[in-house]
Amino acid sequence: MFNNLDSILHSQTRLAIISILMGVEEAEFTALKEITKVSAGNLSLQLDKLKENEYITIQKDFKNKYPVTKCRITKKGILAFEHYVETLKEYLDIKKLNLEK
Amino acid sequence: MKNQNLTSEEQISIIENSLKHSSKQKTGASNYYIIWGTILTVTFMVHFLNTHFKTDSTAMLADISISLYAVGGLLSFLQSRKDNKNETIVPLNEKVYTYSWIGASIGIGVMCISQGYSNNFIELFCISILLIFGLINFIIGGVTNFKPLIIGGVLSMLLIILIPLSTIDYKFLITAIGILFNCLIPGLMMKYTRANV
Repeated sequence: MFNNLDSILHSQTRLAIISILMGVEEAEFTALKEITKVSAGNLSLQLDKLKENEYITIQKDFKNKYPVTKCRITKKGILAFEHYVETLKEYLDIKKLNLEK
Repeated sequence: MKNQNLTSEEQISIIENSLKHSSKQKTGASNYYIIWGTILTVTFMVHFLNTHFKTDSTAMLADISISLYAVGGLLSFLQSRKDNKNETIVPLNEKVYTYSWIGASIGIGVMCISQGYSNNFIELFCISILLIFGLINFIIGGVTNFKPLIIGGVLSMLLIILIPLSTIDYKFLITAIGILFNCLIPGLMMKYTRANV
């Protein structure tokens, strides 16, 4: 059913992370944790997976002497998200047509 | 959040909620609009009073008002430090503000250096301020979809028509009114509305 959907984005947390990053320049780890409401360990795991696939970049920095992790979406990530939404739309259109029949 | 296969409705809901969160992010630009809107309006008003009434006290106020620029610089610096400390998400619009106002500062700076000895420097200065501020706020207002900035920008540019027709004191007054409409009022509206600016 969802064969064409990107398996990397086909996870609740990763989809939420990418959707958030689509609308901002960059987001810190703490902000993503607060919005997605997942544990730090899980979020870290999901971010690593997105980074491995080059959907996001992760930059470790210092702010007021405290370490911060900043995440940004890459061009590949934007394209993947757009493709994901398009596929989802196509699927919904098919589903709607089937319901109308 | 779980990591399992999602239904299409769940996926859409996740995307919608996340994008809603992103679009709610404010840039914090309102603070700088209020700081510089107040400083420039007060400075130009003081210069208007000085050139109009020409008393010792207004002359003294005009001299003192120059130091407000340093106060503005200090307040902006403190505000940016506070923003850096508290900001965990950088909104997309932030770059629009940064590059626009850096460009404006360079433009005004170059104009002051190159035309400082010109006979009609004050007229040129007032026109440049109204034109640059008006144009930038018009564009930023359009990009961020914030109408008060668009209206303020247009009003500011329209006021330029009156500058060559006015005496030197009223040139300052017109510029003060322009800054009030394109910086201070939109800045206050930005701060107290829920718009994504």
